[in-house]
Amino acid sequence: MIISLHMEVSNQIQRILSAFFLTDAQIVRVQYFNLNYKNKDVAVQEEVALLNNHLSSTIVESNIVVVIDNQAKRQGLKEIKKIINKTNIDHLSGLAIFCDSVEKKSIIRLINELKRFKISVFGVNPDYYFSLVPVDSKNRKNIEKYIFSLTSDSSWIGKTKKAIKRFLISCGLSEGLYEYFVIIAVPEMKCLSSNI
Amino acid sequence: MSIKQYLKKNWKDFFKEEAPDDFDCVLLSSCLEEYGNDLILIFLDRLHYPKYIMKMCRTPEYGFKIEREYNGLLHLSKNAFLRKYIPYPYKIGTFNGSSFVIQGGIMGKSLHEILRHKGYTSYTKKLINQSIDLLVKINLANIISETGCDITSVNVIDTLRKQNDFIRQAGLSYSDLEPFLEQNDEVDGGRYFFTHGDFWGANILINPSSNEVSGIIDWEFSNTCSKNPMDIIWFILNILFAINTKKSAYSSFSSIIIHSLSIPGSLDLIRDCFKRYANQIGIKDLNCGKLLICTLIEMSFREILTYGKSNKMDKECLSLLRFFIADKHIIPAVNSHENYRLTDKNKKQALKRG
Repeated sequence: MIISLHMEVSNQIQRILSAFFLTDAQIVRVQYFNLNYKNKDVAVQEEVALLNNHLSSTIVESNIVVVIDNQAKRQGLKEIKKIINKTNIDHLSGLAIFCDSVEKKSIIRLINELKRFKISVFGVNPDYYFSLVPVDSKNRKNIEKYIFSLTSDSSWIGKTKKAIKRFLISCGLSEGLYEYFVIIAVPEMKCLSSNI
Repeated sequence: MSIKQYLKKNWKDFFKEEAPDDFDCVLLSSCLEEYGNDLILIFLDRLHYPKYIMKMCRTPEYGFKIEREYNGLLHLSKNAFLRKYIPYPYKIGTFNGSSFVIQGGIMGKSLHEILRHKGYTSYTKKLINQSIDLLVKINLANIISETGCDITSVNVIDTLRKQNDFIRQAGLSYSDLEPFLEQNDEVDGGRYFFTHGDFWGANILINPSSNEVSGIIDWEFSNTCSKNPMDIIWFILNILFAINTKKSAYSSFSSIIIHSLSIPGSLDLIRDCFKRYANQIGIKDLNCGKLLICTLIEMSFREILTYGKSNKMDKECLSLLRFFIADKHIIPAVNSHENYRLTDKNKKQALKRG
């Protein structure tokens, strides 16, 4: 379990890690970077945590996951580039970058420049606990209609929000419905199949 | 390895079909409790709903509920009638130390949503009756004759009898519950029932094209041989909740139900639903009031006894339990055709307690 990170962040990261990066019999070294824009400068806060997947006590050298929580918007791009560059890609199991819609494309471009990663992008639905929607899917509209129809808010505000969301999805304008995005990048060589 | 890679690698083994070129995985958490589950919804092609669902237990020590769900579904999948109404259980296993079950997805809109939106009409009455008829078949599909009793389910009533502390901590006295705890063993001479454990509108899906029940989901509380056919009461209470949510000035589960009892027609609805169930299940002298109290005891204490923690809904059930015990007129009224009037004083006290 991640022990040192903020509880809420920790829970979300834990779920992301177990869905995308873990394998049986491993402990993952998580390098967590929080980027904030303060006083015209980007503050980088770094934490390291071990995540045990309950099966093994052996630390595997090549199982490092870098998690970047970019709250510095576009200003954080330079720092993200620096973090990626100083990471030894050969020892990397993957990258998970939390970001806003504004800087999403730039980050994807940045990772694509390295030409070593397979990228998936997920949107986080703010109104139903925690859900990650694959926004780069060909079936995006149908998935969004399904996920955004799930709601724990039964008030008329909740119903109105649901109707607006449905309308925006139908018009292909769902980008603004997400609270934030998670970009998952896995080194190509670690993919089992090229189409995953 | 990501879940997607894992699924792709094992696709043929799990689903007995070739792996598709591409599919989408949606990660979803449906509650925040640490003993809750994470779901991976698997969407194929251009489908509007997930074809398969992988349910993973968030915390390894609660993996027993995944096992319970799988066993329950596996048993029902052998029943020629019921198998079309349940998510087919494809595989049980562990991934990254967490237990998972992969089951089929079922298309449909939740009955709870429909009831909340449309209220109690001839259309929703038909859906309620269909659900009750289906519930009778589920409850009768007990497993006792094949493999003996399911030891993974906590027998709440038995445990409370031995550990009175839980009752005291909940602000109740043992003497209040004693008549129900002591008599509970013998529903119709000690018969056993297959119970769903969370049979309410949100877990009952309605096919929007045929307007019929398309399936029942979420079987993690299923019990292959329960002494208490509690599902019917939980279902009825939730119907009252769903159809009165809009009209009521209250927002909590217990307050809405207490308030709804003073609305004309509510007691008739309870009696009609119960009568339909009782006529089909074949239990001699099944007593609605007694079963109601036993069900509320079960729902109030189940999670604390199973997981060591209670959630918001347990507290709501406890409030309802206190109300039904304190108000000496309501249970006789449920059991007969007597009229019941919730006095302003009682209502105030009940809602305050709630």
